[in-house]
Amino acid sequence: MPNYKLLSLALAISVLFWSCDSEEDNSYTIPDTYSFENVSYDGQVQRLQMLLEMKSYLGSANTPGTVLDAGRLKAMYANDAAAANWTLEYDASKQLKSKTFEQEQARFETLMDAIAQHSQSTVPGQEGVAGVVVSLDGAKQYLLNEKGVEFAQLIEKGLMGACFYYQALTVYFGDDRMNVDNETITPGEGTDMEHHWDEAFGYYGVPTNFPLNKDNIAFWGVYSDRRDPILNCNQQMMDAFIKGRAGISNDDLTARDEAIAEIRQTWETITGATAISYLNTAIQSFDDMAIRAHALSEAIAFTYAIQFSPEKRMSNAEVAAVLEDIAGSSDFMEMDLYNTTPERLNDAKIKLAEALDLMESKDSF
Amino acid sequence: MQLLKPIFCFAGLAALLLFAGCGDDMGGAQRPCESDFDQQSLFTHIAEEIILPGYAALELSANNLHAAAFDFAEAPSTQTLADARAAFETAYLSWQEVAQFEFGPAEAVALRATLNNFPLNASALESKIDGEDYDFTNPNTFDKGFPALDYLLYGLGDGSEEAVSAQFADAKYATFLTEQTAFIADAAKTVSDAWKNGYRDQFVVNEGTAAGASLSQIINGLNEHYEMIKRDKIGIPAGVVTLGFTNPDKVEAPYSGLSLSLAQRALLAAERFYLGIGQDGQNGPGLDDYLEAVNATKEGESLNARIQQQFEAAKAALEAVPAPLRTAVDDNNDLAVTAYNEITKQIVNIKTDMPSVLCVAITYIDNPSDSD
Repeated sequence: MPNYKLLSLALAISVLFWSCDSEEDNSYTIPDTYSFENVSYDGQVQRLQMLLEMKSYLGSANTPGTVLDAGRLKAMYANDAAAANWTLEYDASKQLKSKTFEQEQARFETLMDAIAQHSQSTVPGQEGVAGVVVSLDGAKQYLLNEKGVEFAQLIEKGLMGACFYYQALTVYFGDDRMNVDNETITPGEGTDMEHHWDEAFGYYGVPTNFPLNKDNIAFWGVYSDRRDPILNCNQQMMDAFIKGRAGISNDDLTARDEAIAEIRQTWETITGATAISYLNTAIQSFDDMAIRAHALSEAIAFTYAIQFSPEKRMSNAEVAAVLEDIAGSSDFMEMDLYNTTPERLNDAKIKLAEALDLMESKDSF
Repeated sequence: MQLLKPIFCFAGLAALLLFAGCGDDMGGAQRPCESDFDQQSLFTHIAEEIILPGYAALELSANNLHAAAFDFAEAPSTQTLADARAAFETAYLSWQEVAQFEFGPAEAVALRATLNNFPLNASALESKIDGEDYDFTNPNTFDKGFPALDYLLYGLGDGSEEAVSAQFADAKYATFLTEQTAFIADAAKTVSDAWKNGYRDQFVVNEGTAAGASLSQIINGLNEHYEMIKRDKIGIPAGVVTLGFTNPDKVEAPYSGLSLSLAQRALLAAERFYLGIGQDGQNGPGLDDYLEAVNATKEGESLNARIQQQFEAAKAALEAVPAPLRTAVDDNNDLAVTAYNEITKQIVNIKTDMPSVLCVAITYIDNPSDSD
């Protein structure tokens, strides 16, 4: 007669161990590149392409006499194909506007109305007058508003923050998109969790074998690459994206969550370092208004982007304080770049560098 | 029998071990599901001293509101408006006392959604008024109930008494107002009557811990509304679910500026519900006594004591926010966020620990916007 009591106790204990054992099997292969089965982020590619078209249209206004149509800009924003006059074709369901942080959508439409207004100027820009301003060497020219702000940068780089960065770091890495099915595989798209991860990767704007291959890098991919010599961020970003995707495909959610934290931090560092690099440009070329205005408009937009991650190392109030240093206001419509000072730009730079742990490298970007 | 024994033995042991959980600190609570706590006396007290008087107060204040609204609509003046506003404030505060009882009769008529869906969609309301086409019973619209009254009595034109009164020269506004207040009074009466005529008796004897039993209803009701206090009344306006971007227009009563008083009343009502404090102020059987009866502890401390301390901390933090909330979320964001955090800290106590120790399941669905 076997001792059932002992046997049952042993079984019960094994049940207990099984139910409490959260260790996962980590013995899976992590590839060198973002090469997994069923990867698809076509919607992200389309949105990057839409912003490229919008950027190109906005840039046309840097040629004096080119008037922008606010209606067309807003149609591009909302993918109203009939009025957007796209070069490429996009799925009707894909748009930049609906993916922009909801409370900021109207702000971008206001900026589009405003730049269309600026573009009607028939005279060169100067303090108090919107218009195109040319650099001292004659090589660069930008359409500025009457206070010296280049709205094309606020729109383009602003959307990199309030749309792409926000979607990747807050939406796709958020609970609603990460606490989802990881069992059922849709051919071509993987599980829901895998697909959401791939969509976040899509907003980084790089090929799957980046940084070896840098063909067609766009938006964040470009800025990551520019900061890479100092930050070594290209490989860090890719390693984390690959680690998270491999983790998901092997049910290692601990690795996934580590990767989320790593990407949020590295991407934010790229953002802040880019703002600092533009502040450096503006400080160096302070007396060349076109260069100063262009660089500061970029710095403003990259600083603004910091707000759109849930693990941001600066509060919105701290972001606003940096913007006030740069331009006297955190409200795009009130900003004034004619009357800023190098000292204020340096204050802004130090605030960013302290918050993002860039004090040692801040003068090198 | 000889053969079955080992299987029972195994099942019993496994169940015991599983209940012990994975390091959960629920020590002290021995077999709480079989506690001899007198559930019927708890339910009787809650029904007779908290819920029934709560609905009676709502019914009375809603009738007064309807009468005042009727007088105002008949003869708009600064005086009749002042009376209507005072009656509105009283009724809206009464509502906060009972909003957490969304089960049984209230659930049957979707009372909370029909009376207090916010934030208001003012333009939808305007077009309903203009089209003279309104349905107060749809739980999915945001163009009715107390939020509509908040707008109509405080938000028309520039919000001044003169501007609001002037708008009521338009009969469409007058009609909507009195139809709305009549609806609120009717709804309050419907639910109050249902409790008096049958549901109270059913509620009091509905013992046990299963879903649908009275204990499950009150714990779920308390939690579901508590989370609305946290998220809808404070969190969303303060920007905690939107990356710190505030939403001042999404406060509960943006036009009257009553938001903070309403939230404070709702929080107080949750605490009193938990403690079993009746409308007369007497402290009778409550969930606190139930937790003490089963010796619920957490990290070596009485769970009840922790819950009571956290209610105090949450009330104090909310008290520290300067009214109106609509401007405080921007001007004193840190205080609003602190209040949100203190309110939130209670959730693990009342939504995880308390149901676990009392063997009740949380059955309502979380609002998905929480992590959006």
